[in-house]
Amino acid sequence: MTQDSTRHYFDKEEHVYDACGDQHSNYILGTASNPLGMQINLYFKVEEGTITDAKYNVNGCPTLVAITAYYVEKVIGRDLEDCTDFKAFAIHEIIDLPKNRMDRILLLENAVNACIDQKETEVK
Amino acid sequence: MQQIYLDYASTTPLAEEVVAEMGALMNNSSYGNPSATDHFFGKQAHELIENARLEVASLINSLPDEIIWTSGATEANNLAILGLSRFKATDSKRQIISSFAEHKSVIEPCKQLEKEGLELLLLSPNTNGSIDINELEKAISEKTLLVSLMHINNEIGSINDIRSMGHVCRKSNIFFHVDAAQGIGKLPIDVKDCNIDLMSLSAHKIYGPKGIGALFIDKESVGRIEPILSGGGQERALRPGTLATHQIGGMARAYRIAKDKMADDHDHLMACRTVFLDNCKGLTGMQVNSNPDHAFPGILSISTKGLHAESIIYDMRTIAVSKGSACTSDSEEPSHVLKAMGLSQDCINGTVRFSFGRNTTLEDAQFASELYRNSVNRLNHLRGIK
Repeated sequence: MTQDSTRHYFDKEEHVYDACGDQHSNYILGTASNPLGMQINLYFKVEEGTITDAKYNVNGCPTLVAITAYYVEKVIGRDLEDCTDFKAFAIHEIIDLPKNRMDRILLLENAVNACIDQKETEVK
Repeated sequence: MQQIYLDYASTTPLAEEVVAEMGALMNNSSYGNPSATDHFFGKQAHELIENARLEVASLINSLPDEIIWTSGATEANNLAILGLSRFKATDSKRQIISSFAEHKSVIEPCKQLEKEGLELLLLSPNTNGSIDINELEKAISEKTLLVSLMHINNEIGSINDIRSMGHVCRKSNIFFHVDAAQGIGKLPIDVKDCNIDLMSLSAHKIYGPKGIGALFIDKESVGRIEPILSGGGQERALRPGTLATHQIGGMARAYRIAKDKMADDHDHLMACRTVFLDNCKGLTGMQVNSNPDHAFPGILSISTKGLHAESIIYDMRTIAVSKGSACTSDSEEPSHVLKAMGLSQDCINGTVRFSFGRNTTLEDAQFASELYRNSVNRLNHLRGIK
């Protein structure tokens, strides 16, 4: 079940940020990377405290690609302040996450936190 | 979904003739212990094994009694390096020379000997992945006891000039061991002409069974080495243990086929590689990790800078290939071979090894290259690169 979901979200491209086509002036960007050369760029469009659209670019193992795609799909429509509540996303229940891949969640968290930091900087 | 196997450098399927041979051996009266030559059944097995020894010897131009059966090339490498060094090292001859491009079954025994007090010198491969003969000549000295280098590199297909290396070693009175696990049956090797003293052989890389291999030990130049196992007198007490008759028969059959088909196989692999590479021309960030003029065509190591091989392989889904590097699996070290060749971490991460074989069709190679191309383009899109 979870392996099927990993494949499903790995294959999905619906919310991939198109560097050529997408206009990102009204999106906030959060970036995170790790020493293995993996990277996530998250783009949130926030209107009145709600994430009305989200996109991503990702480079890494299949697990990282899948959890990023899954997270972005689920975060749309949530309040910005709720987007770090990772338990609510139930990623572990949906995506196959081997023990030695748990740090991929942390990478995703870092990217989300970077988005929030960006938003806070904008507000200030 | 039909799967295409392109991992022949890892192992090969059994040739039909090998399956038939092994099946017959497991069903006939050769089940006796080949050491029990006092009775019919043992004699049957013994005769079969000696015929097989002849077959293996004829592929490399050795004498049959210079072939010692082992469980595979890993054991043969261990026996060659540990056995020779422990038996032949003296106060003045205590250095082993090998390379960073070797298989772990060569490097680890060398490191073990270093712990036992011998000196170890590991040479770095050049950018093509092979060892320069000049570098070897510069490295050897009066204290060098053994040089151990591979024929064809298992990760990138680079070929060492073992003939020149053997000449250099013999001239300097240094033992020369060749790990021919990838090369045997694919390129001609004449142990006498190449001045090879010891050579490790495998069966399962050339359509033979797993779990069987051999070590060639030159009778004149080496003679004796120290066994690494004890508990029996088989194989001149160099490798004790009851011999696996059906495995050995299968290996001999695979070697006979390899001898007959070597030239045709090579031409076919060249054609597969050409089809694959022609179709990948112009792919963003792609590089081939060997010089095609000096590499075995059955092994194609390709890096795509910045991408992760695991995702490329996952995306291709119907192609069975290997990662060129283990660095993304977290628990393992990055490929020591690619690292030694000077590849950047970005390239190592994105390295995939395609290896073609006798059963690969040109259509398979074409299809695989299309999938590879599509996967690279898709993953580049995912990471925001056009």
